[in-house]
Amino acid sequence: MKFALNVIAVFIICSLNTNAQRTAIIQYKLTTKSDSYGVYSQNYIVYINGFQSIQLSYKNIIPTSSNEENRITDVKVISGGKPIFIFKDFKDKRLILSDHISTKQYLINDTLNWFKWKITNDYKKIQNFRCRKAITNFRGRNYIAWFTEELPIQNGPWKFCGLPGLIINVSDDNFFFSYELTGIDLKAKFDERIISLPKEYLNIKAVEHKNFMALVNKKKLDYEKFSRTYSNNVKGGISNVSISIPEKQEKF
Amino acid sequence: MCRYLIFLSIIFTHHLSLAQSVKLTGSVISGTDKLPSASIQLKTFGDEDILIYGFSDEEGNYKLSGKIDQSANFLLIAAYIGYKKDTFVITRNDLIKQEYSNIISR
Repeated sequence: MKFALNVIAVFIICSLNTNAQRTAIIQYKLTTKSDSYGVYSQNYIVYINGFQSIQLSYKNIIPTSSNEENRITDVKVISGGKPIFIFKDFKDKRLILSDHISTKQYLINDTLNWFKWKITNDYKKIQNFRCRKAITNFRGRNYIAWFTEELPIQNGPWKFCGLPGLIINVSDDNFFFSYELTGIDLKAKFDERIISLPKEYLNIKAVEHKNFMALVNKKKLDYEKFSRTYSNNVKGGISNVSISIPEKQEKF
Repeated sequence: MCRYLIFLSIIFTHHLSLAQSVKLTGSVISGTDKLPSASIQLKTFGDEDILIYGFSDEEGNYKLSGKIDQSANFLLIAAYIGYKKDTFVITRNDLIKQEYSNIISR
């Protein structure tokens, strides 16, 4: 009897271990548009393993075709400096990321899934996926997301998540920040250790999101003050000197 | 490889008669594997209004709650990458009736 119980216990443990951990690699391109900086684009790659994911910045991403499962062939990590990342943990409801003010990097603690999505009945075909429109307001901007129920993954680019399907495209209503899917590999194999806090940040104390935003706003004011002083000192010269830091995606 | 998602779901619904709130609990299983992070949706039958949605936890279980509309029939859908999605038709009465049996069993 005891033996039988042990066998059952072992069986249960084994079956727990065989819990399918889904891995996937998703690529997005972010296009930012602003008056002072023009149009700028940046590629990101999201590694997903079960309940955790990490988004990293990459360069040299080969443009992919619109096949349903694009192969990711050649990616390189941006070397030098600390990696820019967004780490999501859906089990522990954690969101940790890095961001910068000027050249200084910060480690930031944030809350996972603050999005109150409104799912509409608008559909659109994007890259062979049947996508559904969802809208939300998040920290000062209105966003329109197109997600697909064909890929039941609760994730997306940047901090976005919490829809009943993978986000294919998402942008704010002014198209200042637009993310679009550029590649997807659902049979991806990679070193799972990549989905963790990058070692460069291990000895850095994290700041809370609201404290980080306070620092951003302080910096903004400093720059404005500096701009004014500078313009006052130039006699009869250029009167329109403005120095600013790039607009953050979040306003607060 | 068997690509069928066997979806064993026990639905206990908790009904607040006016607000029409329901609770859905169950698990998503394929063979002997419990599937974590599988998508669960309760939709209105006919159109595709999503009334309640969420994902299974690390043990493959889910516990969701939300409000239902006036429809007579609903769809309960479980989906997971690489598996055929599983769709259940549930009548409004079933959603509500099971809730009564749940209360009786207490």
